[in-house]
Amino acid sequence: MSEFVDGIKTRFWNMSHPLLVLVVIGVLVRFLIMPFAYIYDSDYWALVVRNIDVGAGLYEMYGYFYTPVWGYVLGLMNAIDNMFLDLGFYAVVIPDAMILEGSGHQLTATVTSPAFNYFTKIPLVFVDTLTAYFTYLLVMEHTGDRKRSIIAFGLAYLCPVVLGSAGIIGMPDSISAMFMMLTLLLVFKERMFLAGMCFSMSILTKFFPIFMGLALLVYIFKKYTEKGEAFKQMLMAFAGVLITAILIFLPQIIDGNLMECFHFLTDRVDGAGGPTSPLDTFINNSRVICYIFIAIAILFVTRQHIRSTETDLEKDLMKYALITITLSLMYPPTTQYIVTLVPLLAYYVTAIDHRFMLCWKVLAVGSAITVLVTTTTMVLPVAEWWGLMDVNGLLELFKAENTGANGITFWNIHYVVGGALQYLGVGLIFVMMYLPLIRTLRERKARTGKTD
Amino acid sequence: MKIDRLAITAVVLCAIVFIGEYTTYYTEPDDREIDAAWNGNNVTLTLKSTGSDWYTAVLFDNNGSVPPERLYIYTDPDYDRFYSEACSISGDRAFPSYADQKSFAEEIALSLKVRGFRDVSTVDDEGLADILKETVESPSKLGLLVSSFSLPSTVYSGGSDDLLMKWIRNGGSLYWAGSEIGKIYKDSDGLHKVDGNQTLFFGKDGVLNTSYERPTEYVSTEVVDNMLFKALALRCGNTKFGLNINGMDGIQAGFVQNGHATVSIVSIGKGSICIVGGINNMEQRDDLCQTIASGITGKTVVESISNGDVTRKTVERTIPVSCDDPYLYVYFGGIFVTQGKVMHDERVR
Repeated sequence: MSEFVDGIKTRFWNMSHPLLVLVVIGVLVRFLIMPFAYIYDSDYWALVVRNIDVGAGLYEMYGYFYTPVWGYVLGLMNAIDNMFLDLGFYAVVIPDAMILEGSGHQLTATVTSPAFNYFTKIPLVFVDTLTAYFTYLLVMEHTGDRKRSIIAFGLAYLCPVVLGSAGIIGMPDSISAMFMMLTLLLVFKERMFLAGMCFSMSILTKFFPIFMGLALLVYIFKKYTEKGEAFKQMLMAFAGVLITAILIFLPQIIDGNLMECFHFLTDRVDGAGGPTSPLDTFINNSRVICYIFIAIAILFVTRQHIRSTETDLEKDLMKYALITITLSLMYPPTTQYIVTLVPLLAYYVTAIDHRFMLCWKVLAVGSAITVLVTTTTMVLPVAEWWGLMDVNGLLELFKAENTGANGITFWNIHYVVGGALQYLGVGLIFVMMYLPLIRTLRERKARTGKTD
Repeated sequence: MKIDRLAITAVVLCAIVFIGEYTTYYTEPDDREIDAAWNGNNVTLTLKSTGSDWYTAVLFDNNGSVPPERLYIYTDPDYDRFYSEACSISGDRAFPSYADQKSFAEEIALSLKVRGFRDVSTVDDEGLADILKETVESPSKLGLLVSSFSLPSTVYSGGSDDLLMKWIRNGGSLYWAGSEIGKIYKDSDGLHKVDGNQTLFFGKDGVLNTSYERPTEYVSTEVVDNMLFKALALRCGNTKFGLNINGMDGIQAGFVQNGHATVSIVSIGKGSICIVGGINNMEQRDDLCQTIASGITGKTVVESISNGDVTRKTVERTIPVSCDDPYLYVYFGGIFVTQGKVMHDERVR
């Protein structure tokens, strides 16, 4: 036995491929944290799987608010469960945990089982691994430096943003990021139809990558300078986008409930109702207003991209992809939204400007703090189903965290600090990107002033 | 990675999503069967599933009280037009929980169908009046679900001799969710407030929970101690508008706060009123559907609960029966019900 264990140890430490070591570490960390859950979200995934299981698809019954791709992944997992697995009951209600529903936070007393949590997150482990590998490939293609590429893999794969989103929260943003990076690879390899397909998959999982659409178009028009070639490539890409979108939305088109797929754009929370205050109205509309400003800003960035004199078009596209995705996160994002930014940032740090590592670090710390806000509730599945912790003890801790006057509680402070750091990390990318430009403009203005 | 491999990777990843789409929409749901044979002092349960499933079987005694077998859902055509006014009339502590009438009715009908309760229709103002008039003499086995804050004056205007009140007394089952029962009625002049509505329905005032302003204050951690919480996998902890049945002939289930429960059923004449507390959310709707589909009434007493695995197999289980009016409600999936069926031993015991 001892020889066997020693053998494994020796083989592990002597592994020659560093990527494999990173994969092993990443998978181990993910399997350790996957039984935990954002119980509010995992409760909804259980509902979605139930709806699919009874033949109601994604939108016939209440519970699914996104475009269909993630729902289809859950549908596939449900089929695998029915064919090969036995997950038991997906969730239980813990009566004492009703204090969570009375806390005013988005929490529930319905706690999904660790088995169910693994079940929904295992596809995301593969997805994260592929995303990091695509980042590795892009850096390798553009720098030819294996060491940098491996670092890029690590930054994309082990970033707390990604670990928290896929490993704990169980959100499909990782799928969006994977298809986005694959889109970029395919565009560089001149596989426009497939690139269009993957771009479609990406934006039909989570919409953020749509903001880099103009950057892709600018790249195509700069890259293909022969007469009509750019239009040909663009049409191929559009065909890929369109055909994929039609195939993805086919069940909803047939059922006549296509608009249900875009429920996330409006309201998705049912509940108390009642009179609406002006503050509520402002908060509800602020997102729309913010995205209008973001759209305008992206037009300016596109103008800058068109005028760019950078000769390395690939790197230029990666730069503007990063800028546009960063802009899309200017409305204060939750941790999972930042997932699409991480592989682009990992690329930028390793292939273009290592100083942006500061942004990665701030994002890493901010997201880790934010994800850990819900520690007392995220471990409830393990406490309730495996008995590894005392449920009442955790709920007492939750109460203590949420005790305070005028909303000044440890929980809220923790959340604000984490959220602010996350936002700082996103904003810092923008500042660091445009600081040299601002300096240049100032200097030019100063020189012009002197001449005058 | 060579270019071809990259293309293959892209095709495979897209194909995986399309396979998921196929399994989500174009494969038949698992074959599930629930059946029971009543044999004297036992009931033999036969369960079958071709998928991954766990079952819960609840044996209960209705003590001669008959649950509804057909349900009408009232969809108020004026709901959105009058919602703000209804909030003003009801006040800060009792404003109704918003429930889009069409989607609420569709959701309930589908959720009931999953649970084996298929005879569901929706009625508007005119349809409601017609149905109540047609069935008022013998409304036994009929249920009416209201999620609106008001009823048309053709059936209810705050009087004890209103059509609705007669219908209930003669044996109809009224289910009410999301607002204070009977507080408002409407006619061509608009909405009208009814004073003494709680006394009219329950014989006394102050029995519905409207104590707090914020919905979260109504959330309770205390469970009604009668096995129904576990039996029906109830999950709504919000007791807003919940009924305190102290001194009434009825039962409670789910969560309770100062005597106000999330599910309360009281017998009124030959009929019953069921109040499902809380705000319009999936937890409330699930509890409402479990209450209706299970066939529990104001006289229900749970005798036993059993559960187990029925994954890709047929299971036969014998449950002892010692009550006189036994019903057996079996459902798959626990909280997330995938199939249900209620069965009754029709023989006089």
